[in-house]
Amino acid sequence: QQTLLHYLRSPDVRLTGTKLGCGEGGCGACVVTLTHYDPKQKKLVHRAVNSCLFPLCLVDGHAVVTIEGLGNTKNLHPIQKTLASCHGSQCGFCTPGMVMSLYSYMKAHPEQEKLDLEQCLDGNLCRCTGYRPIIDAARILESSMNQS
Amino acid sequence: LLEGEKIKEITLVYGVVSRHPVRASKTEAFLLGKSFTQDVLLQALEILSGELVIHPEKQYFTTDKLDGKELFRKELVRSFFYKFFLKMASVVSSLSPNLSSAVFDLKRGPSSGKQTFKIPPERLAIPKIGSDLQASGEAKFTADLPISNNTLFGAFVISNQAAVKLLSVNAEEALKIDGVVDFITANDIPPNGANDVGVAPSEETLFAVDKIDHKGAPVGYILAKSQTIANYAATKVNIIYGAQYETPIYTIEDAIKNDSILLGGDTTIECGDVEEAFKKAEIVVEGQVRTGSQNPFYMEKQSAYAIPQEGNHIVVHVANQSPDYTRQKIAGVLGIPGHYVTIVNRRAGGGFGGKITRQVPNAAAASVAAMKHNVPVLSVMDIKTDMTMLAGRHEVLAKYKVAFNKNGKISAVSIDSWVNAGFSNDFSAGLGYEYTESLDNIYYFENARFVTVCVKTHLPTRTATRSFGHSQALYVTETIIESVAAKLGKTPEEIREINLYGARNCVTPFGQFLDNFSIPRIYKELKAESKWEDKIKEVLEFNNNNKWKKRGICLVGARYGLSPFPSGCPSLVSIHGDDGNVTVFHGGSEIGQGINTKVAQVVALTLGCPIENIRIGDSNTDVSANAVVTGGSMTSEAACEAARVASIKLVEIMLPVKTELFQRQGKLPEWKTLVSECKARHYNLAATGTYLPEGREKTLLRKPWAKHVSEYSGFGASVSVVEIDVLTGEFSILGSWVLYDAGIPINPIIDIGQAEGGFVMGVGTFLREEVLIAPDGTINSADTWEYKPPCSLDIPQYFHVALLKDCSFPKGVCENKAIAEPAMILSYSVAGAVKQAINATRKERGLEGHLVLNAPLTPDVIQGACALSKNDYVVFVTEG
Repeated sequence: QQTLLHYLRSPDVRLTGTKLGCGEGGCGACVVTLTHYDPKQKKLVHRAVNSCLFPLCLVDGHAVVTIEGLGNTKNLHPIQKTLASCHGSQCGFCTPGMVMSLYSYMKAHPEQEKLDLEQCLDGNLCRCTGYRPIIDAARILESSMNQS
Repeated sequence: LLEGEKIKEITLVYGVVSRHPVRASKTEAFLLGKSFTQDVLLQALEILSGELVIHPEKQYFTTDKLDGKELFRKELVRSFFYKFFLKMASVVSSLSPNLSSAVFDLKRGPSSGKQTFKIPPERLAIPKIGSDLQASGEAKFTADLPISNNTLFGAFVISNQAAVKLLSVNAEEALKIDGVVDFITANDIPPNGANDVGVAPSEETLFAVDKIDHKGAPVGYILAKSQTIANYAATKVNIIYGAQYETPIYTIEDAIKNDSILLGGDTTIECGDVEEAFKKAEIVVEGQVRTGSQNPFYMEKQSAYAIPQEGNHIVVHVANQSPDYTRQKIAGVLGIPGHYVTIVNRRAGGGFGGKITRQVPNAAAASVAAMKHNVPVLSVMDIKTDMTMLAGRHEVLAKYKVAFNKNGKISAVSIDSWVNAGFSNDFSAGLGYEYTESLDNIYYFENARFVTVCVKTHLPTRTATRSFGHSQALYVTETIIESVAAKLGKTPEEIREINLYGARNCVTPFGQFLDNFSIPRIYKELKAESKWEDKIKEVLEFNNNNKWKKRGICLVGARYGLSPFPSGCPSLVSIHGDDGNVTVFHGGSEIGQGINTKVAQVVALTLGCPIENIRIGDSNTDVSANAVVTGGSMTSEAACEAARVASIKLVEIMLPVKTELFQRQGKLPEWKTLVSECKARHYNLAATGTYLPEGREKTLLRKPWAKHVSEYSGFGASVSVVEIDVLTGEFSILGSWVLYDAGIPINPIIDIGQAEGGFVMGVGTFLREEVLIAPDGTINSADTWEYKPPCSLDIPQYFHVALLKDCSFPKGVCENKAIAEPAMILSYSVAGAVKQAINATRKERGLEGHLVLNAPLTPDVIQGACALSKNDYVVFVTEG
C-alpha cells in the first residue's frame, strides 16, 4: 500500500525535496523521473510520474531520480539554475515538481528536433507565479537544448 | 466513412454523459446514407437529445445551480455533435468561413510575455534570496523538518452535518488499527486551557462539544505513528449525531429570510443625497449580482510541527502568516503563559490569506497532542480535510440601483450587499468594511449609499483571502457599469471614462482624498502600449467573420485601499562584529512574496554593508514580539521600514567610531574594520525597530475598522482580449496588458512576479474556481478533480506586465506602493472581455436584453449566457 512518495519522505530515507501537495495526482509537486529498460524498444524509457500515486512495489526494475539526484545548491543542474534565475519560484513549494517535469520531458525526448517544453507543465500547479517565469525558463532550456 | 457525399459508416460515442462511455445508436442508424443538410442535422440533434440521457453528477447540484449543470451538459451533447457534423460536412464541401469557427480549436499558441519596469540602480534589486534552495529542493518547509523516532502524526476527524447535537464520538475501531496511539478530543485540552481558537473569544471551538455548529467542524484528532495511518484511522471514527437543534442555513438568501445576521458586521457609507438624486434621475437601472467563494489553495496544505521542550515550554513550527496571533491562541488552548509558546517558521508554501487564522486549529491540535504525550507531533492536513474544514473567500450578494443621464454620467448609486461570513466572524466585519469602502472603485459618485451586512450561515468560516473584499466589490461595481452601458448602447469603457475621478473630485464616498491618483496617466499609457484602438477593430473584424468563436475586449482600472494591518512589524538587526555579517529578524512571514529579499536590500543600503553579508532569520515569536500579521500587501514595506529604523540606530551607534577612523586614516573605514572596532569597544550592535505609518498614532487608538481603513490607494489598469467558444463555453485569453503604479519599487523584479501571479489567481477568482456547495452544505469541490486553480495553459498567451515609470510616492515607505493584491483584481479585464464576447454572439443572433452574470464565469455560465436555440445550428448560411 505504500507509495513511492511515502517511501521517499519516510524517516529512514528522508528525501524531502519531493513534496506532498494534493496527494491525488492533481498538482505535480511530487513529480520524480522513473527510468526503465524496455526490451522491446531496446532502450531506456524515461517518464515523469506523480510519486504520490505511484505504488512503491511498481518501482521494481526502475531507476528513480528525485530533485536531490539532479543537483544541489553547490552544483545546480542547468534546469534548477535556469528556473531560479528566471524568478520561477516564489513560495517554492511547486518548484521541485516543475524541475522534475522539465527534466523528465527532456530525458524522454533527447532526439526530438524541436522541443516544446511548455506542454509538459500542464500537470504542475503553481499558485504564486502565474507560470510566465516558469515558461520563460522552459523556453531558455529549449533553445539551449535545440542548439546543442 | 463517407461514400460520395453520404455517410456510409458512423460510430458516435459520448463520454461523461453517463457513468460509462455510451453509443448513440439511434442517431448512428438515422445518419446512415444521409448527406449533410440542414434537415438531417436538425433531425439528428432531435434523436440524439432523445436517446442520450444525462446521468446526474451529484457534485454539480449546488446552492447556486440547482439543476446540477444538466442543461449545460445536455447542450454540450448537441454542441459536440454539431462540431463533428460540420467537420464531416467540411470534407465534402467547403464550409462558409463564418461557420468553420465551430470546427477549429480555440486559439492557443505558445505563451510569451514582456515585463517593463525601471530598476532604480541604487536599490540593490537582487533576484529573490533562496531561489536556488527552492529549485534544488533543499528549502525546508514545515513537513520537511527533521523528525525523531518518537514523532507522532495527527489527523482531524470532522463533522459532515451542521446545527445538530453531538451525542458521542466512537473511536474504538480506529484505536484498534495498528499504529494508532490516541484519539484526542476536547477532554484532552488541559484544565487551564480554553477550547477556543477563533478570532473573537468563544466563537470557534477546537473540538466540538455537545453540538456541532457548522459543516466540517473538527470533533477530534487521531494520533498515530505515521501520517498515512492517522489519515486512514480518522475515517474510521464514528460521530454519533443527535437532533437538529436549528435549521441549517447555507445560502445568503436563507440567512436573510431567517434573520441570521452577524452582529457588528454591518457597514454603511453614504455621501450626497441619494433619494433626491434618484428623484431627479433621467434613467434608473436596478439589478442584482453575486460573487462566489474561492479556496486559497496554498500548495502546502496546513502544516504544523509541535515539539515540547523542558518546563512546559513548547516550540511549534507552523506554516503561517500571523505568528503572534498563532502563539496567543495556542497558549490559550494549552492554558500556559504566552511566553511559553514559541512559533517558528522558515517559510510557508503559499498563504493567500488562508494562513492568517485558519492554521490555528491544526497547530493547536498538534500542540495539545504533543503536550499530552510529551512527544513531537507533526500534522499535515490532507487536501480533502483542508478544503472541507477550512474555507476562503466570502460570497457576496449585491442589489443595486443606479441613476444616470443619457451620456452615461452616473449621478447616484445605491448598493445593498450581504456577505456570507460562514459560522463565525473571523475577519468578516473587517471584510464588510473593506468591501464597502472599495465599491466606488475609480469612479466619482456624487451621491452614493452603500449598505453592507454580514450574514451567518452553517458553513466553515470565511476568512482573509487575497484581495480581501476588493475582488467582490470590483465585480459588483463593474457589473453596474456594464448595466449602464448596455442600457445606453455604449461600451463599458465609455461609461468608465466618463465617470472617472478627476483632479477636482478625487474624494471617495467615505471622505478620503486620493492622492497621487495616477489612473488618467495609466489609461493613456496602457492604451498606447496595448494598441487599444487597433485591438478593438481586430475584435470587431474577427466577430464579423466568425459565428461560433467570439472575441471580447475590456479595459478596466482599479483602486485598491491598502490597509496597515501589519503596523509594527518588529525587526531586530544584529551585526556580528567578528566578520561583519548581519542577522535580521523581522515580523513578517516569508510566504513566497519575497519579503526577505526586500528587507535584506533595505538593511544593506542603510547600513552600507554588502548584501551578501545579510541572512534573514526564521520568523520567530521569541525574537519578534507583537508581529501582527502578514497580510494586506503592506507587510513587505512595513518590515522594510522597521528594519530600516533599526539599521539607522546602528548607523548612529557606529557613527563616532566611523568619524574617528576617518579622521585617523583619512578615508572612510571598510565595513569589516568599522564593525570589528565597534565590537572591540563593546558597543551594542543589535537594534530593534518598528513601523508606524505617519499619522497612525491617533487613528490606531480608534476602534478597529473605523473609517479610513486604508492608508493609501494603489492604482492600476489592464486590457484583455479573449476568445470564447460559443458552443462549449470555453475561453482562451489571447492577451493581457497590465500597468500598475508601484511608486518607486523596492524590488521591481519581485513586484512583477506579484503582479503576474496575482493576475492569474484573479483569473481563478473571476472565471475558473468554483466552490461546489451542495444544498445540504456539503463541499463537493475539496480536491483537484473538481476544484480548478488556473494551470499553465490558462494564462494570457501574451502577457505584458508593466510598472509605471517615474512615479514617486513620497508618502510611502521608500516611496513605494504595495502591489500583491491590487494587481490581482486587475484580472477583471478578462471577465469583462468574456462578457463582451458573450454580448457579441447574443447581439448577432438577435437576443435582446442585458444579462447580468454571477462570478465565477465558468464554462457552463458562459455557454448558458450565449443562449443557443435549435435555430442556431445551421449547416450553410443563406445570405440575406
